[in-house]
Amino acid sequence: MANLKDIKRRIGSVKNTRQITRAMKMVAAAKMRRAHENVLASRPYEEKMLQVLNSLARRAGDSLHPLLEHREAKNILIVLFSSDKGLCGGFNATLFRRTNELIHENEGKGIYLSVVGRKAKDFYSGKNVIMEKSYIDFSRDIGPHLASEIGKDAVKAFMSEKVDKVYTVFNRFKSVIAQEVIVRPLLPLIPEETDSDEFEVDYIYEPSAEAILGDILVKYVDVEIYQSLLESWASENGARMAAMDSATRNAGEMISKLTLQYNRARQAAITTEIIEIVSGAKALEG
Amino acid sequence: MASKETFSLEIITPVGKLVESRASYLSASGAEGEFGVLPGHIDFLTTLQPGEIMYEDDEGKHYLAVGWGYAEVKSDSVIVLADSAETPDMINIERAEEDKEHWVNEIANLPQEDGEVFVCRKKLQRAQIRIDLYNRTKGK
Repeated sequence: MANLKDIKRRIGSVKNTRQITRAMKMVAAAKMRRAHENVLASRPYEEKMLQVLNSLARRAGDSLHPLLEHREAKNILIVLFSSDKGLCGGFNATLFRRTNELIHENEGKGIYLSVVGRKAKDFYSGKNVIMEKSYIDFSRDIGPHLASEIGKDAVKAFMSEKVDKVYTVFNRFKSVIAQEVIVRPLLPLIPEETDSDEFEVDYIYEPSAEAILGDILVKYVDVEIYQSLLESWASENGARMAAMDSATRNAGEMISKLTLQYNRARQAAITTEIIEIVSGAKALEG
Repeated sequence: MASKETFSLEIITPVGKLVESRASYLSASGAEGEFGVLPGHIDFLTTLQPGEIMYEDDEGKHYLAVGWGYAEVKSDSVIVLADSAETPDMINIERAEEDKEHWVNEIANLPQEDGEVFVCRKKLQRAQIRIDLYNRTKGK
């Protein structure tokens, strides 16, 4: 049986850990709440934009704008949204698993990676991919600015025909405890087919349909990336909160197990002591 | 004003829906100049210049400073998507003044031909729009 002092020390250290994980859980929960609000706030913007874009692009056909152009995919770019820090459960692991699948599907093609977050950079450096760009320590400046920077780089790579297809891979925020890895083809943009031509109105365009389309397309890439950023950030904090919650619970379990062990050991020590005293007294009597 | 004809107006930005109301008139600066919308307008899609949007509803006139965006006009609805939109109350005037100063300096320091100048001018323009709107609605 372990020594009393050792057990006591272990209980102390587990208690400390529990305090830390509990604090981390609170922080993650607060961040997640804010991130979640942002996600919800920006969804209508994205949806509306996609709607207009689809109707414009459908009318325009795929030859009208370079960002709509389909080319044979020789090189692809994957924009990957991971986290800077760990301790967020399977957040990054599932993301990488899905990304590896995507890379596998595209075997033989040149794979370029643009990564957000230190974790993805560490994971993929030295692997058989070309690290195009990495954005690290991003959590402080999540915002339209960062998104448009990432967007600009992706558009540039696509326009210069360095890559022929761009995917984004990110965790979508489903609920506080559930995330879902999404692979979304970003470029070329594929206009969605609507089942019914619900009053396809022909607008008057100012300046022209092409010009508006071009304007909106470039913007849309930014918006899409902004949305992915927000979703990923909210998911990361959700995942961290869940991970820290179970860590806190595990620590609690461990503490009660150790306390039991400690009490048993103490009991055993007392029993031995009594036996020693009694047998000492017996020996004197005799 | 109650019996006036109205159209539904939505102004959406990445940080949420800023305006959702019924308006009787809207004016904004589009790609080819200022335009006004009354109910029953022909279907119309335009990009917006950074500038001001004014709309009128039951409570009177409202002004907004917007950045890049576009407007989708239909006979009974107008949807404005803008990457930024602020009411005069939301404008931080000190910050706008600071921005203005910053970009003026920036432009002065850049060579004329530089592409950056263009970007800086845009930013300066935005700051100026905020300041103008603020002064006109809040100032004396």
